Amino acid sequence: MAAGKRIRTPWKHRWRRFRYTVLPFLFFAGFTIVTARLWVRQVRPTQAVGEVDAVRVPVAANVDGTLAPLEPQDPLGSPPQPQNWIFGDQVARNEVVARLDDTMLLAQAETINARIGEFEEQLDAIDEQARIDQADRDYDHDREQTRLTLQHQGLVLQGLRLDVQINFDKIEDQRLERRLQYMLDANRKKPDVIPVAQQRIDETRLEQAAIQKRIEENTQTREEVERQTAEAAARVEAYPDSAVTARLDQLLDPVRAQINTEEARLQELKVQTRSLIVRSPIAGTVTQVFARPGQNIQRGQPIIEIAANAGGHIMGYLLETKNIRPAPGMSVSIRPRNDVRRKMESVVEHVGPHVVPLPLHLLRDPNRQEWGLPVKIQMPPNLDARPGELMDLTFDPNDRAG
Amino acid sequence: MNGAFDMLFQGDLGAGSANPETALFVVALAFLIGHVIGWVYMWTHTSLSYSQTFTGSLVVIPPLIALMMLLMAGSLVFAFGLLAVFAVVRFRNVLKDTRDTTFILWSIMEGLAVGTMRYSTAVIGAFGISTVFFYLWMTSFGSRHRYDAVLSLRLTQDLASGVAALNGILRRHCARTLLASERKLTDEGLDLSYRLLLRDPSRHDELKWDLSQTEGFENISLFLRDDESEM
Repeated sequence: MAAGKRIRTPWKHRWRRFRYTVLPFLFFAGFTIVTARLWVRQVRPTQAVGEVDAVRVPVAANVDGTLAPLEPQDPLGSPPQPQNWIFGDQVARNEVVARLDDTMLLAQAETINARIGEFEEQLDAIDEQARIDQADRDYDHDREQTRLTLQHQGLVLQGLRLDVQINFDKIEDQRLERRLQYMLDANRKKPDVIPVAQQRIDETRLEQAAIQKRIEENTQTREEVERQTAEAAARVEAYPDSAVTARLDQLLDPVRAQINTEEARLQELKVQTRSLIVRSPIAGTVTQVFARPGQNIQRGQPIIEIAANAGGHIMGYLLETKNIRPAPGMSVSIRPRNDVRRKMESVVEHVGPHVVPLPLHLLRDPNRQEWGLPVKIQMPPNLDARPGELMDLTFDPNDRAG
Repeated sequence: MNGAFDMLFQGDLGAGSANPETALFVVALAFLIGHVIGWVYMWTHTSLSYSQTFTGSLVVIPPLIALMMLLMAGSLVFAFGLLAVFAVVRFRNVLKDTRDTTFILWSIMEGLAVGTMRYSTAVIGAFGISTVFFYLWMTSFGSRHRYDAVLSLRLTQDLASGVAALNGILRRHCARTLLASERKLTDEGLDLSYRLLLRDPSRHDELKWDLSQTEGFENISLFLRDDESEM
């Protein structure tokens, strides 16, 4: 009886013991599985954080002025623009996004126009004066040219005359030489008779000496005349064909200076006119509107902000505490922060030269600044991400695609 | 393997922003860690001042604090607000039990979550912490329920035959037994004390009756208790 069959444990107590002993382990195991699954979804093995390149451009005014309403139709043929930009409007690259009031510039243009009228009248007066001056100058020019030419021709004639005289004297010299020789020969053949008087021989000798001296003098004069003739020819050659316009330049110089000033003002006006039109530097979406038509704005003051619709690459920041040396061509795993189950592969394009502070929205704690090495990563073709979307990056130093 | 390693040890930087799923994950992970803390405390506790509610609080506090940190999210204002509310409650009411403290903390946390418009976090926190408390209640976590009765008796007959008879009876009634003390008397016999895990505690009288009907057993006393003593 005492050591009989074991009594049966009631289900209530079995359940109670199960709850107290087995259930905690089962519960723990179940929670471990659930937590592990959540861990995989929530926690990414990440070495760096990055974002799709986000370009946001505040479009600012180039000059001070009043913002004017955009024209219904852009003169350059762009499609009709809304009067006021609103968030979400699409903007094409180089599209007119703002126009400043051009009343002041139109007034300046009128002033310049009036000045041009004044210059035209001044030019007419100068032209009349120039005609008179030109007639005087032409007359003087012709006279001087004639004088120089005549002077040159006179010298030429003088040279010719001297040549004739020299030749003539030389002939005479030869004739006297022959006569003298004849007389001396005659006296030598008949010394007892002496047919020619000595006086006559001496007179012939004196006459020949005079002619030779004249030849010498004329030769020197001829050389001097020849030099003067060459100089005169040079002067004739150098003399301008038309009258010099120095007087005209003198008259025009003040007007030219004023015209140059007005040209500079006109150039400035053109630049200002171009500055009145503000164009979008990028294609994208209007994200902020800072100023509206009728509002006075200063140079550099933003009018609207445009955000690019698509990013061209991923900008990652490898924390300086990570012991990885990224290099161009290194493989990178990319996981979008909003869909951690997606994993794409890409490669490093460029690595920044030095460590920089992380952008604020990439910080784990906005109150604690972190530093990282900027790395430009190729955008995976199958990644449909908007600019600014966060990405978790894992580098593979052992895999160099490039 | 390498991926799992990275997942485990490269995960701090990749932690995303707090969304409802994150809140759920945070509560679950904190619960698991708190559970381990509770077990370690239970298994390593040796002194007499053991408290089941304290052990339960060790499990609840991690998810509560994790939730609290999620809500504060680095906001000094929230932190000061929480401190102020908790100080007011503590000042007005002396909390004797850590379990009571965790409930106060939980209530404040829910108020903070709803008040800061973290509705999802509030609901997930309520659901998660309730689950933890339900689990603690259901498993009586922290209770070291090994035996539910203490049997004392005196063996006056032959030792070998008496112990054999006693073991037979105990095997019939008990799932587990532990000889807690044994005192040899000079002439009366042997005083024995057992801790028992009864197969059916409601039939403890049968055990006592069986022992009383067997020769050689005197001074039989059976003391029932649900758990080990708590201080």
